[in-house]
Amino acid sequence: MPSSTPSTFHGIGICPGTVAGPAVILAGRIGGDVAAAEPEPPCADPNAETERIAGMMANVAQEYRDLAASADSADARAMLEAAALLAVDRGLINAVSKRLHMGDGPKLAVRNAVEEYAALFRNLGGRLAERVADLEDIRDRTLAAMEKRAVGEGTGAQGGAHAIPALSEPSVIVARELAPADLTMLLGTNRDMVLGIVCEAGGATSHAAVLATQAGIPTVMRVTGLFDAMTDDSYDDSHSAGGRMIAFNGETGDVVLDPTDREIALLREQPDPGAELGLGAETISDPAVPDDSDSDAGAAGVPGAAVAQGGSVTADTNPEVREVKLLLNLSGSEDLAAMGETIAESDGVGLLRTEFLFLDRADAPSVTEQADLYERVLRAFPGRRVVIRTLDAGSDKPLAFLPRTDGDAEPNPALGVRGIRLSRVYESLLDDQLAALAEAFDRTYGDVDLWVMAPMIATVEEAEWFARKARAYGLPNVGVMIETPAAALCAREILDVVDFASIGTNDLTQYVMAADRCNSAVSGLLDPANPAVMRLIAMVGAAVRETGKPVGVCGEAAGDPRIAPKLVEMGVTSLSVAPARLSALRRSLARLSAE
Amino acid sequence: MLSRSVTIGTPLGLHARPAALFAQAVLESGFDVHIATADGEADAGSALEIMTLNVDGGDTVTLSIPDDSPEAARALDSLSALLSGNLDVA
Repeated sequence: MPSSTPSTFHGIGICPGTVAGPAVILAGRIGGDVAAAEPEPPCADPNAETERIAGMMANVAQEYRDLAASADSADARAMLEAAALLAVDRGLINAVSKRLHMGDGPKLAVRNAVEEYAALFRNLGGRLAERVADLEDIRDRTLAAMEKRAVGEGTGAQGGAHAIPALSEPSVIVARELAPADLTMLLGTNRDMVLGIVCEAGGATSHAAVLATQAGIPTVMRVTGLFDAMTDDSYDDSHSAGGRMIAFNGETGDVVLDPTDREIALLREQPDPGAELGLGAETISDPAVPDDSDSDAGAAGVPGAAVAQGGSVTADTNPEVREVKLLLNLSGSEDLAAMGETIAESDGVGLLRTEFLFLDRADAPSVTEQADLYERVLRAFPGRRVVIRTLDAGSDKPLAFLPRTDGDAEPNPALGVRGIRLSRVYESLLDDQLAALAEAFDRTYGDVDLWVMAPMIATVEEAEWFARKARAYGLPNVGVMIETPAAALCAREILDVVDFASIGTNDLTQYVMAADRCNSAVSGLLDPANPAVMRLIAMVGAAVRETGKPVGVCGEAAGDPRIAPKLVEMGVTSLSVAPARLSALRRSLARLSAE
Repeated sequence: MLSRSVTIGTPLGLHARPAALFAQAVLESGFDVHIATADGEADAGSALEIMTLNVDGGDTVTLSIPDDSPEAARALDSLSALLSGNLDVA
């Protein structure tokens, strides 16, 4: 029977795999819904009640530690152990006690105590805001204990942790969002029955995404509107959707409710962006692109690609490209100590952004402060490549410590004084950064392969200027980002004056398609698989062959399983992706070599 | 009351992990320790309380113990040393 609600949705593909099965809805988290909670009388003995609640929170901490002990990855273990510490934080129980003394009932006291910290952290933003989900999970587990529910029994529509149902058949879990502890428990009790996971909220770098990817469970997140569509006409307290079918593709992020067999078959096929151009065996007729006529690749395959030990992919189509390295994109503020497994799986860092050192502060970071931070990242990747990008700032994110002038409000910051252009205006800032990189290199000499690159290059002269400067500081591998059309078109000349380059497909796509990344009205034009962008990347690939210099890709296209194999085929020598995407990328490249 | 002025040696400041490590050390010392900035004061035995101060790398804070004994002085010395080092590589 046709429904008035939509049946196809689109989210972010987190872990690849096409899945179809009965949907099981997890009860929504309504933990913040204080007004709807049943009224409770103030307790007669606030001190005794504090003790009781502290005991429950200690049990919650033990739950986390038990989950940590059975977690299958070091990252998951670290996350759960951190949550265990928060559950018994002295400030938290003091806040509960204070609310009890103010007359709150026990459950209200717990909600309010958590909300005090959560509200503050949300306001402070950044790393602190990421702890809010952990606090809310602690609250929900404590409330579950207070209502004498096992976390795992059905709850009502109101409040409390997710009901983790016992699954009787292979099913697709559908939730508004999943905390890492929920995911770990779900997989612990029901691993074989979980076909896949679909979440309305979340994102590629959320903890739950990382865990799902490591467990290899096909997952899609940020599927706006799905939960409402599913619970609109079929929601009931027993937490099954009456076996309503759902299908999705964990790479493309497409989701279909009540799919027909044909729709499921369509989901399994992946669109091939290169087909329009006939890349591969039939190359585009462009003199800059050599004819790979001895390649027997269909447009979809990477012939001869094999996963070598250590994770790199070999592409035999290009004899000069022996290995494709799989690297990480880092923002600089990650908790590297908690990322041991991801780090070990990678071949290094393809992009360390350095803006975190300069933004949101009143004065410029000193050479020593920078060197300490660079050293810390370098030491986390012994024996491997680390590519660090110099400051990529512009008028859209002003640096508080730079002198302000009237010309600062640029109408088009993306086309203004940013990246290398800013560095030429404030040369001492770049000098300090290069000095700090050189110092970090000295401190770790011999242990790490440090590469340094500059952003927003548009001319060969800019590339030459940067290379001369950086080499004067003794930096051994000097390169540039290719993210402007000019740089892509002149890649050959630019590669002649630097040691390497990295293609930033996000900005490159914006400039090539003349579509603002920040303007959702034109976001349909920003698919990096667009033939115009792919053609430019093919030109850069030709420059790689001619000069023998390495060129990687560090934009979103690198982690897109539709596009990554094409990039390898075009001669790209490394792919750098967000940590959450690394395993999925390796698997998708390996699968292609097996076909 | 004993107090020390300390410059935060963790470049990224006292976010969750360094705050947790420092709070743990405070609890193990057995002393009642407070950490204060220009914006406020907090119980240094609570990671959450430390985090509310949003302390950045390079900031100066004051550690204090309401106890004048030699044992308290020793504890304050070692906690100050910990805080002036880089807790992110601890």
